[in-house]
Amino acid sequence: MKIKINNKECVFDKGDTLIQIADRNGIHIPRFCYHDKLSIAANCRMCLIEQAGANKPQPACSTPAIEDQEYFTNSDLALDSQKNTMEFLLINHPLDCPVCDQGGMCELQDLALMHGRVKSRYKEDKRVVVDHNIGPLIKTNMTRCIHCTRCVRYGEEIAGIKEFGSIGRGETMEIRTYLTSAINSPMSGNMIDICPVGALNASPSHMKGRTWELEKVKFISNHDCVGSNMDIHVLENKVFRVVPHENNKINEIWLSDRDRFSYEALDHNERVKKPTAKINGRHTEVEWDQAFEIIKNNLDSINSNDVSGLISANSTIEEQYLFQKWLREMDINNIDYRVSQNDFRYQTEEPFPKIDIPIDDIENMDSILLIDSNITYEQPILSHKLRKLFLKNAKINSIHTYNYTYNFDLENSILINPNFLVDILIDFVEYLSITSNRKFDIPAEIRKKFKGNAKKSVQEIAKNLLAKKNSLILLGSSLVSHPDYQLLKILTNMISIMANSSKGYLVENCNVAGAWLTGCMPNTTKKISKDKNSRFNVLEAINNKLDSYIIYNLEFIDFYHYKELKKSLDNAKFVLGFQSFVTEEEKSFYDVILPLATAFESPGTFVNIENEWQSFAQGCKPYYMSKEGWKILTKLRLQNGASIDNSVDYIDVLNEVDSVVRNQKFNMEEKYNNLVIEKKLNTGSLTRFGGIDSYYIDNIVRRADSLNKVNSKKNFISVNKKTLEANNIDITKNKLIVRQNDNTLLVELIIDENVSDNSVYIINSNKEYYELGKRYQPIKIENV
Amino acid sequence: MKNNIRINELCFSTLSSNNPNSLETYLSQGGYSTWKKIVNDFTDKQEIIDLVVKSGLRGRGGAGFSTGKKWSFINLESDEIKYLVCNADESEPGTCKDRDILRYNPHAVIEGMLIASYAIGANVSYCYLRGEFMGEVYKNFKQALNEAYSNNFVGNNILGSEINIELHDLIGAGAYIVGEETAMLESIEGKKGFPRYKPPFPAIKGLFNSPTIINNVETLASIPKIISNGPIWFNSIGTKDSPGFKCFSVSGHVNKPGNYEVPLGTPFKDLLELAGGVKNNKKIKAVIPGGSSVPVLPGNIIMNINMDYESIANAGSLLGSGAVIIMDENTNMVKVLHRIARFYYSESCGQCTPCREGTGWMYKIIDKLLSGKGSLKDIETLESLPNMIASSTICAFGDAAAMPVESFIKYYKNEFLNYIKNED
Repeated sequence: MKIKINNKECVFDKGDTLIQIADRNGIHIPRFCYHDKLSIAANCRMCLIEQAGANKPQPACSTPAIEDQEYFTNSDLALDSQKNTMEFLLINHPLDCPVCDQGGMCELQDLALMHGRVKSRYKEDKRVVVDHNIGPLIKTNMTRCIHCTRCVRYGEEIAGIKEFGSIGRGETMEIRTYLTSAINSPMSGNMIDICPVGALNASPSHMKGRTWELEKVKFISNHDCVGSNMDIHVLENKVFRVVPHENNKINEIWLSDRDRFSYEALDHNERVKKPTAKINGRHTEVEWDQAFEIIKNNLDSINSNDVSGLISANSTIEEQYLFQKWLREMDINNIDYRVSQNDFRYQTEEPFPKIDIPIDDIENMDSILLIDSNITYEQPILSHKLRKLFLKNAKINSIHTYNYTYNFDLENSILINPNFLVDILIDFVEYLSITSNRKFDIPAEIRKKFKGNAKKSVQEIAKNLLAKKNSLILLGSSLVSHPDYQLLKILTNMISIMANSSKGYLVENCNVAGAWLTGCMPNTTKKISKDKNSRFNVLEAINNKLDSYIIYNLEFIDFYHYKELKKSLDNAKFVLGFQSFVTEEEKSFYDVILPLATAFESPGTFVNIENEWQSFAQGCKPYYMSKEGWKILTKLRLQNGASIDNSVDYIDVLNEVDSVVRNQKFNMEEKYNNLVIEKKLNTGSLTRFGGIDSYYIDNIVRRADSLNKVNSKKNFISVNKKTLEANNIDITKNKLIVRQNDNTLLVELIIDENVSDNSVYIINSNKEYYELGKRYQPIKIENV
Repeated sequence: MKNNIRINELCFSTLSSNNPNSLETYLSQGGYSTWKKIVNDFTDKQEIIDLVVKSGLRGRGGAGFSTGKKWSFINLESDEIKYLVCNADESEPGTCKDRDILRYNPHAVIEGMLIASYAIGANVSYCYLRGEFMGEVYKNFKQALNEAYSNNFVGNNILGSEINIELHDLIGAGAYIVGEETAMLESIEGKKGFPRYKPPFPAIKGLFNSPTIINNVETLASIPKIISNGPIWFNSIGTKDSPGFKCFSVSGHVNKPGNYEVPLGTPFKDLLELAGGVKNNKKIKAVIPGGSSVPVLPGNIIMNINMDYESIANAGSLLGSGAVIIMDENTNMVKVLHRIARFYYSESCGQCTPCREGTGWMYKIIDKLLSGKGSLKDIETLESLPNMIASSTICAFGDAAAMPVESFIKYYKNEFLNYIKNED
């Protein structure tokens, strides 16, 4: 079908609106309320254009094209209508662009230049709107609001949490939260981007720089496993702000708040500024060469089997590759990245941490099973995909240990004590082995050990998975510390095979896949190294109290065996840290600390959960004396006499990683030899569980100031009423004492029916929780 | 007084009785006989719609669109759920006819709603009353509705047939804009009263995304008799393009203000006589013939025209909802416009830009003029604003706010100029 716009012939499909056709054909139509990711509002009236023969101008955003009709965007009627609307928009809008943070990137400013009057005719008083505090991330200046309702529609449609609305009528209408409260969505920052004026601005960068002074560098998200694309805006060699970079395969045009505001940590006072070494028991700043020498002398004097190298899964693949290479060149093979893991069974077959389908393909699923995933807060971008599915009437089911808040509704859900998570998955396997056409060779042990009578809800979910053509099972990222993690993965795999579903093992870090590919783990059949000897994984390395530990970009609380680690480090002869941040307490454990550039300050590559390699350039120069990881590691290798050209560049490293790792075919098949399914978690008593607060997940976000003001940092635990009564807790008091082994903590009590029976839900959001003890361990609650 | 004017024959026919709103009165006048016949005969739906089309009945809410044509937009073949909504959110300043119809003849409204629901294939129907009707009006309507339910005129298996029609009453919260049909649908759905953009029109996608017909109280109350007496009877009253009776709410400087149901095309002079003539025998200065949102007409023009859709349109105004506001020679037109502009300023829903910002701007300028601080430039600006607002908004509110301003300045510019002290 065809229409003519400004005498240009344009093709369209039935139902297309004029603005869509014009956009496709490069014809400019001004707009404010229209946004191609949001529903149509047609309220700003900026896009009025002329339809030949009609006496009224038509809004291009909401008017479907009529075949063979002629339209004009530049006729007198169209231009006058646009000019009139612009005049109305500006009468109550402050005309003080020089002091507005949006100046220079403001849609109203741009269009006013084209469609506005030179001088205002409005002589009356302007509207002033009182601002309400909506949290630490978004700075409001609602006097500048033009009521386009993009933010309102964003909340309703995209974020799925209806927080903003229009209150009042006519000129006194205000866009605000219905009740005075902070915005709670983990994707709230996108409202800043879609706001066409300076009404919603990013709070952390508010009034700190101007748009035209910024340089833009593309970057990849380093806080979750999807690898959102973003642009770092740099001002005077500092990250000024972060905005999304469009990538329709991953994050579309959105970004989670965690990715957007984590940069604030970069000049935190715990940043390591210079290399330091413990000399006569005191940490002293040393030169780089001096530090290298101390490292060499110490490592040379220690048996390589008594050294363990532990690297973060948040480091770039170049660093991970060089780290293991440097260590293996010294014959140090006790290397691991799985520091938050607790279950190392079947580790020779450690499966590749991945999702079977591309991320954008999630939108084509029609049935989802979540296994204990707080996905809306842990992986906001994936949750957004699920929300889209939900809006398309796909069925989303969940088995969880806590009734998490999602931005979609669940079809079926099962709330289960973490002790019985394995059992319920075995129920699934049992049920599916009867109903599914695809049989799986289930070890006899399962049937012998677990006589689960599949509950009705299990059957419902399993039927749902079987009935739908495209189904997906996602294993929650916080389960990584579950004592049966490996078993949960095996069971997930079994269920996915029998239900003919795709599956995904969600992870907490941005480059777990990279660490796996570069072989930063011992004892695996799938690694670069040809080393056949049995080596220590992180748990064994800690338990065996080695002579030396090398810790790369990890904080102690990143370790599941936090306390044991500290004891082992205390005992070790030489502890080396490559760190961007270090606390005073941690410092005392180290013998040498090398200041490491963060990912923002270094070029690198992250491999996301769909095995997508995404490289990025250096955002800004490293902090003080710190250096990029690839440079430090290359220097250390040179010092050991590795045959590397002295003029080696980042690109050379990338090329090497490419040829050695990327182009190598790994066997990704999941096999489990001699499978003995034995459940480890069975505390038989009150169990502590709960993931890490999404703003406490790694060393960067932990220190991002504004993000950490979003959630209350008070110590609290959630327990349901039945459990409290069973433990004789006085529920009239709001405080109680929790006890793990010999450690106690005074906490606030939240009586919460979203918690399963006989368990205590703790969101790990500060160090005191780690001092108390571990997750998935027995815990006691006592009256004060 | 001309005795030959037919008055209060249709919607106000029960007023001749002592107990106008009772079921007995309505039944004694042949009430519900049309509905009983339809239920009994299973009259063809299309036949009813055709009758209404032939009658030439035009919507009495203000726009005057053909009722039969509106009904025929519904696709009778589709098995989608359909709704009928009775618009009883009568808020146009000057208009009070629906209030009295609901007070004195509620059963006619209910019967009309039932016939309309049947004709368009709706099983659920809502009567949306304005918030201020909470007192007597709501009480009378609710009582009538209960009577209709207990007599099985409404409900399941109506009068032993297989016809089911649920009829609900709803009370609004007092926003003028909810009288706009799509804002009313939003309000029924429990949302904020914001008009929807069209297309899609309600007959395609209305209440809860289903095909919906929205009719005014007076329109629906006229339906039973149109069906029973036939379109020829209805056509014989009024003019060719404006057949039938119309309720006029006469207010302002008259001796006997009130609702008068007369044939369309009745000369204004006669209507004025019915209302007892101008108070204190003064001259007429101006008349707003169809509610505050239509253009004002000077007395000398309106004295010579008939009260029907075309005559008033030819004179440059609109019949609207039939609220005739009469102003005598002593009226200060700037103050009148000030009051009208303030109404539209405070009732604009705020959804689209020209109306949200423009109504405030107009009011503020008039306010400034009244306070003696205005200038010639302000009047120039004021003159330009109506044109900028009209035709560019989602609903007709923009036009409604613009028309009075435009017409008041057109006819009474001198009075505005008189308020200017310093001429710059």
